Amino acid sequence: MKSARPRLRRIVPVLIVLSVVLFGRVRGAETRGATPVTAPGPTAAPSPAERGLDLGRVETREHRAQIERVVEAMDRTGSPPPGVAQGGRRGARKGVFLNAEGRLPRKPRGYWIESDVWPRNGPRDAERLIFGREGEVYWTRDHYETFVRLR
Amino acid sequence: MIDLGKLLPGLRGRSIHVVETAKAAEVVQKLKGAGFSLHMIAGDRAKDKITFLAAAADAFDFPAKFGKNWDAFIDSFADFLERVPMPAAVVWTRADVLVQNDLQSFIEAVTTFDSAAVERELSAEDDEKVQVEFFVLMGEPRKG
Repeated sequence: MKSARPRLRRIVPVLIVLSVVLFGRVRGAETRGATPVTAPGPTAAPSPAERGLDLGRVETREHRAQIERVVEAMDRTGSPPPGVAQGGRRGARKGVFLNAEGRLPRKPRGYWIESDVWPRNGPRDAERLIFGREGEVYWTRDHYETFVRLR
Repeated sequence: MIDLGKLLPGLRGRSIHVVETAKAAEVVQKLKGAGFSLHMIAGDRAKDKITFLAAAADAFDFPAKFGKNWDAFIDSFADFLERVPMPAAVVWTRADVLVQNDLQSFIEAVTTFDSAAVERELSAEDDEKVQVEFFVLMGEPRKG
């Protein structure tokens, strides 16, 4: 009668290799499928200074907060917050400010985009923010007569 | 869309039409009959940019805080086209006064009219019947 030992000697290494391969795959799948866990941390929006905004000429805290809200939305999405209108040209890209009077630096059409400041509640008021493609922000509160640079 | 070629035979221009003042009454009557909302710019007092913008603010009921500049005009005229009943016709009487006194402002005005009307038409909803026409009346009305 033949001993079973030689057969076991051949099978054991194969089983070890198989188990390593299979176990490794399972662990890999777990890692790939898992949502990375990160410690909850503060996610506060950048401050005006962090956004590079100079709001020194904006009088009230409420007013400054609303301007920050619009700038944050425009920076993040290219559109104002819901309810805040965009005037200007209504062509392919909404809210193009033509700078027809040339009171802002002359740039190609489409460089300047505008937004209202306050959510629309009846007729629009005279206050606007103008955004340049390179991050500039201007504020006018007299319907494009005068501008204050905020960034 | 109302076919202006049939309504006013001999009319020239795609959306901006220069008309002799002598024909103003006929034009206005036919536009009204066809269902256009009419908006009259009193051009006799529009001698330069500022006086034109004031006449336009009256004609289009711009808000009290309307700025007296072309950017404000572009902005407010686009808003006007959003709220006005369609089809709409703007009739600018005595446009020759601005042509003679401040041709640059006349050009700014008509180019703004045209591009705003095109943008309004292109942005119309499927069920909107958007049509905006401009009638530029040249010369003094007949006396007597």
